[in-house]
Amino acid sequence: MRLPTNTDDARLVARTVRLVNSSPAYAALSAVTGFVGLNLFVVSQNINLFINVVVSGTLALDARLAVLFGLYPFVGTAFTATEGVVLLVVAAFFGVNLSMLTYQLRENRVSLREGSGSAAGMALGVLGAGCAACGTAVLAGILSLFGAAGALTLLPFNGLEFSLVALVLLALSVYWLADGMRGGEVRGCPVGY
Amino acid sequence: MASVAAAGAVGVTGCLGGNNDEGDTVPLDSHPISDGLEEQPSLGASDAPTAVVAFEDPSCHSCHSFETNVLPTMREEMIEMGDTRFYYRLFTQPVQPWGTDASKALEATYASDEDVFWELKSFYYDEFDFTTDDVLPRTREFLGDTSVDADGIVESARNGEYDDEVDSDMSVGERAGVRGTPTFFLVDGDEVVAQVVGPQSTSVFRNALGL
Repeated sequence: MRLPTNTDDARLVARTVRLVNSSPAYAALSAVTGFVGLNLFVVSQNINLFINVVVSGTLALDARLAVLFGLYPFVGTAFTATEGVVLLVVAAFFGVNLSMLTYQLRENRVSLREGSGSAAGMALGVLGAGCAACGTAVLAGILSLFGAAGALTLLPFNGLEFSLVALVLLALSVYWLADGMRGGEVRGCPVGY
Repeated sequence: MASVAAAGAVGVTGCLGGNNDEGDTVPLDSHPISDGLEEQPSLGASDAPTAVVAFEDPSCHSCHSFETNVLPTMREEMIEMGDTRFYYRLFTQPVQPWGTDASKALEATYASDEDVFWELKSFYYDEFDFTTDDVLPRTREFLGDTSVDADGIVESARNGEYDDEVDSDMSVGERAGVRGTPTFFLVDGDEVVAQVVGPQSTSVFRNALGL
């Protein structure tokens, strides 16, 4: 697999993302999947609260919405500003990644292989959001794979590391998708070489 | 409504397994968190209509965030208003190794004086820069300015005299489905209505409990 090495690669990614999302349908797909991703990251940690209080229960609508929105970065207190920014960027990358993957699948009939970073990025995004609580079972399980069970001290940024790795994976996935379009056209415009 | 306290006093150990991710409220007296609940450190009126049962680790950064950013407003807006009783239970996991000794010292202090327990808990979360080597010496130094026997408490923490209490809280948390800290169980009347994970805002707690 190629890795981005210079500014031309960055320009290629930016141009391809812009061309694909210049279509209202793909822009909407990016926005919707990014929003869904953010919801998954945030709500996955509080499924019980979401089901029992937001979805069911007897509370008034405004109370339910206050509970729901209170779980999100910058509205509630569960995420620091840095964690919130990283989570939002991961969600945005996830949305862009899926819209580009969809474009490739529909227009160029490529395999799913180039989009494999989406799934990994999503999983790590959830894990990163999970680090809002200390010592989740998933996190402990991951660390035990490296013989570091019980050594959460190995994460100096308290789990933000997972979100940053998610960000790198999603960025690479977007690059590989853009790289696959190199030399082609998006909506009649050349992508570049 | 006063059954929050009553059910806790019953001390029935629940057998529900506890994660309850699928939803539905659970009667408090059949929920694992009711096991020994009334013997736990608590803040607020005993007849408060709602309760928040917290599982925390003194060395957990998210618990630190809750204790410093959220609990002060929760005390002001919910606990001191008589609406909510707050229970503190230890869920000591190896987030930082010093948390284990801190938990033992907290249990030992609670057995001696509940007011000093709350002071010591605040000390841990306020300072939050301990190591396994200095946590007990600094605990002794802090307790030296209080009414309790600082040497005796540190010694009993070292000797493992309160290990059973720490393990018991941990066991209750595991049966209740606690996977990370802080985790809170929201009790309305005699029903456990929801589980909250992470240092969520007072608004989330207040609204979820319909206050």
